[in-house]
Amino acid sequence: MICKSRKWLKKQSLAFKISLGVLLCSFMGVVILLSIVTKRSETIIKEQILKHSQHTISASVENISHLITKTEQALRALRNTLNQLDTDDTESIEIALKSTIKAIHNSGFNLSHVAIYSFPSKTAAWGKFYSAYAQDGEFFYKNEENKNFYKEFPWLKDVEKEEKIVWSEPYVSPNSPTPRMVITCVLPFKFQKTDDFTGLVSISIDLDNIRQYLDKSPFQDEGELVLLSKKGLYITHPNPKINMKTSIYELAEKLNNKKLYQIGQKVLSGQSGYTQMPFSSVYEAPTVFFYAPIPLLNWGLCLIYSKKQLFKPVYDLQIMIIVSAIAGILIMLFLIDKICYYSTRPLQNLAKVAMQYGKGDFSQNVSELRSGDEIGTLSDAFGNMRTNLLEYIKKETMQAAEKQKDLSELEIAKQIQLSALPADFPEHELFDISALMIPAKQIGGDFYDFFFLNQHKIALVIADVSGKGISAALYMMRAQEVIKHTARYTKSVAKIFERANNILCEGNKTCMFVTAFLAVINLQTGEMEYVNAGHLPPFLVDETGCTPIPLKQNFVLGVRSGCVYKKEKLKLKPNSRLFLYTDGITEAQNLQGQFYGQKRLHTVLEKNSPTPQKTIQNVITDIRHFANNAPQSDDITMLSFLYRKQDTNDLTIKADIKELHNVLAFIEHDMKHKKITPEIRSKIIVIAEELFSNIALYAYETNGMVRIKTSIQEENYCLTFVDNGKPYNPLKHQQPDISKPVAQRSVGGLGIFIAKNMADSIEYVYQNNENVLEVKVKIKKIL
Amino acid sequence: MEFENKTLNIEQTNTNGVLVCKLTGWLDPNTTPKLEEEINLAGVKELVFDMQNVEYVFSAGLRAFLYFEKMMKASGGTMKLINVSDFIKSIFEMVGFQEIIENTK
Repeated sequence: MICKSRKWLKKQSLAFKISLGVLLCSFMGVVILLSIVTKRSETIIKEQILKHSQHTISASVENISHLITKTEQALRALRNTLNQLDTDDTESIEIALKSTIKAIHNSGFNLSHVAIYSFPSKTAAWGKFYSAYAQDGEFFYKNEENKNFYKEFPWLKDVEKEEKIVWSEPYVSPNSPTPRMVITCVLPFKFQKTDDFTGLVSISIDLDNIRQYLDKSPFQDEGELVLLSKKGLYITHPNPKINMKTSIYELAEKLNNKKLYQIGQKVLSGQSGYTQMPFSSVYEAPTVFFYAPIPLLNWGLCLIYSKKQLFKPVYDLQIMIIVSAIAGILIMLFLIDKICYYSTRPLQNLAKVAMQYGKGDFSQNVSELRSGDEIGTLSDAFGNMRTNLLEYIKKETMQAAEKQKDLSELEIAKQIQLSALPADFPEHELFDISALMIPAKQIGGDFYDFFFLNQHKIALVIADVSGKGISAALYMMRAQEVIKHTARYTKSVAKIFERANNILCEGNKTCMFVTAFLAVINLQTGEMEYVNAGHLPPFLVDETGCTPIPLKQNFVLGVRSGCVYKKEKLKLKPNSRLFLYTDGITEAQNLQGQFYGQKRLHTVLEKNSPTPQKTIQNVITDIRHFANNAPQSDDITMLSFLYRKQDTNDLTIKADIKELHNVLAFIEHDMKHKKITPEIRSKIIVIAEELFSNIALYAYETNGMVRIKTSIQEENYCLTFVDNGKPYNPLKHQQPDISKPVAQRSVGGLGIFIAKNMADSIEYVYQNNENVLEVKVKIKKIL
Repeated sequence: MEFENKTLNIEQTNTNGVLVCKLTGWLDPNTTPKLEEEINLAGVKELVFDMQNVEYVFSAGLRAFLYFEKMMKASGGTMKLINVSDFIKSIFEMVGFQEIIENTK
């Protein structure tokens, strides 16, 4: 993956790469800047929020405390007044209560209620009740006897009747004409003349009063102020389902919010601080909680901000930075692209020119691309390179032309050399021949040759001139011509080499020499005479296998004048093959430097191949396979000869009817040998009997001989009768009239008639004073 | 060699003027004269050649049969060949001597 993108990047233009680099750097810069700005602005805003929040909270706490203090002062004042009154002084009590409620009401507090609970004894649950309240600017007063305080004011039970102001939890006031949430502060008092305790004096404050103070908070817009009672009850919660109905602990348990629970505990135990919460009942989003206690009441005050709202300026700033950064980067990219394009344009032109130089077109100069920067320097270098290259090419071209001249001359020499070798392989019924010479790169001195000496004799030559190059080639041409020419007028193969050697020795100052093998084959008999002058013995392949032909080495040609050469003889069996070759085959090398060798050649030759062409093809294929693209170091030359003499048989016998059985026995034996079917054999026996009888009875006046030859020609059994009796064409003999009744027949001419009918072809010719009668019978199957 | 010194053997059986000649061997120019020498047609009304053991009949043989046919016809007798192999029959047919073999059927 990384590798792929690297490859891809390599392919892109310079402008693109630079742009990409700048883009990445800018992007990183923006990211760093953004994080710094965010962090910093968050800190600043946090500090501000903290300040504001503390201010808000302390202002609210102060307001509430002020109210509480005022109320407590009024309560104390009332208590003090009551302490100086008598129990029975109902009038004064009424005045005191009324004046208190008026005084407080007038000072701006919307007070709800002032009450006196007068107990007959400390443990009594009922007593006298005095109360005064304000409603809609009017003041009311009432007193009741024997009122069951604890039944009507259950919270009174819990009030410690001690010299201390105690605040109740919020509750619904039973005294006011309309139900209102109030909190009440109580203080024990005693009328004059009583011993210690008379009762409790209380002032109730409408909660709306307190809420009113909170509403006045100047920061209300930025958050919610939530008031908690001593027991954690929500007093000012924006949600009416929670407000006055649930405590912070209950809500925390319900929401499974430990943090909220802890906040409740902390603030109600007098601690202040702030914390963050992922969720709150006020904002269903991450929030920041500030909290502080209200000491006089043991209440708590929480200021809750939505984090989103709180950090809105930071987010706005971030968006602004991102937008402006993107815009900036885009503009920058556009500019970089343009700059790169214009500054690398000379480089592109340079590349184009260089490409043309690469193609060999030096027509365009780079001077027009000149500029002051590095590209300019490169252009100058290119200009110099062009000049130098042009000079170099000029030199090289001249040298190459000279070399080419030499090379083409060599090539011509090679062609001439090759054309001297016979390339048309004659079609002949008695043999098949094919040869090949593959010259090595360097012109060499191998050659093969074959030519007829007369109708029945063919000469085969293979030779290798020492050395390489033009001189070897010239000497080879000479050697080939000398051997061929000498062979024409020399009968013995040994003499051919002796004479050729003498000629080649003349004026051979360079001491070149030729190894050569010459064979002359009598195609009719298969007899082969051969002579070898230092050459590799050719292979003979026949039914007994593949062997080098036995020979004695004679001295090479062209060195020692007057050398005597000895010939040798062998008889080629029908269907035997000769393979003549030069050491270019056995010394062919592969890349490892191993030689092809005689063993491999032997293996290839052993394989049955139908024609010499195929033999040569097999050898060359095997050498190529062995060499495995290693360069050919020497000429590869070979000649393959197949002796295809027909399997003929002949018998010369007296033209006497008494020899009939011998003749037929000879033919029958020959046919069996040639695996002719019995049916055909019978047919041929009949034909042979008739023809031989005819010759024996009529050809000669006196004694004479007849020669009988048998052969297989294509799909025919061939029978030839040759006699030198009087010229007589039996085929022209009058035919017997076979339509006559048997009894009226003459007895002559039947034999020839039968023979003609049974044979597939029968031909007569009189040549060289001989009657030649040739009969052919088709042989369908061979057993 | 089996072809050398091939001879002709004639086994004659005369029963009430029916002469059956069982031939063994070849009928070639060397052997055929033996037929004319050995077979005595006197008093023979029907001449039968059993060809079962005859390997070859050459033109000389054919001529001999022609001769006997003529002789028998001249004396008012008949001649026939029996047990003729297909090959020999084909030679007879080739030269139009089938009537001799037809007689044998």
